[in-house]
Amino acid sequence: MLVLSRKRGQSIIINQNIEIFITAIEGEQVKIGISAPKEYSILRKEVVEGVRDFNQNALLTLEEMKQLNNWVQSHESEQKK
Amino acid sequence: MLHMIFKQETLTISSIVGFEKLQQFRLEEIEPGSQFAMLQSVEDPHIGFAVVSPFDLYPDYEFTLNDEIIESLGINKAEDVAVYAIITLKQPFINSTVNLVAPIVINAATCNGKQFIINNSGYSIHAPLFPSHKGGE
Repeated sequence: MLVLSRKRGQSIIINQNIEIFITAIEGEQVKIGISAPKEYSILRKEVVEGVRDFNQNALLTLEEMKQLNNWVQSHESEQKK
Repeated sequence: MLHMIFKQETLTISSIVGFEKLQQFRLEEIEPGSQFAMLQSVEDPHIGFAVVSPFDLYPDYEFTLNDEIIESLGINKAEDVAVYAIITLKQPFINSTVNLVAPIVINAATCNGKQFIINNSGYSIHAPLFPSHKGGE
């Protein structure tokens, strides 16, 4: 990981098409402006990590697949959808 | 947005977070006419998720597709977009939850999809699968 120091108002350019701009520094919090091609996804890391953990947890075991099948068969056949 | 099932098609779904190496998936109803489907990896049969159309459960559910996903999936019209939410199975089944923050968004015209993380949605990653049972949202 490359570590750079920036002051408020300064920028970093990545790959000549992404700009990271330090807009404000208030105590512990830094406000960062990001300019990137619109097909780039930009997200807070903890949000991505949360989804990663969620997906891992949501993976169905064979047992769970069977349970889901059983539930669907017993419940949904009673109703018309 | 339509609720569609892609019975025979193989979908290319990149960016399921943590499973980016798996790209080819099949989407199959658990039973014909069921609202529940399995999103199954073609490359690794151990990898599968239970999914449901979130609009069936939460009719007011909505979000905006940003430029990133429109560009990367080549979406031309809203009617081409199918949305599925991943279920976390609980015991008993009625306590199961659904992820409204990071749905799978599919362009039906191209059979390409992505897991789309909604920014600042206010929705829950663990929304009740049966909202009426839990007292609703």
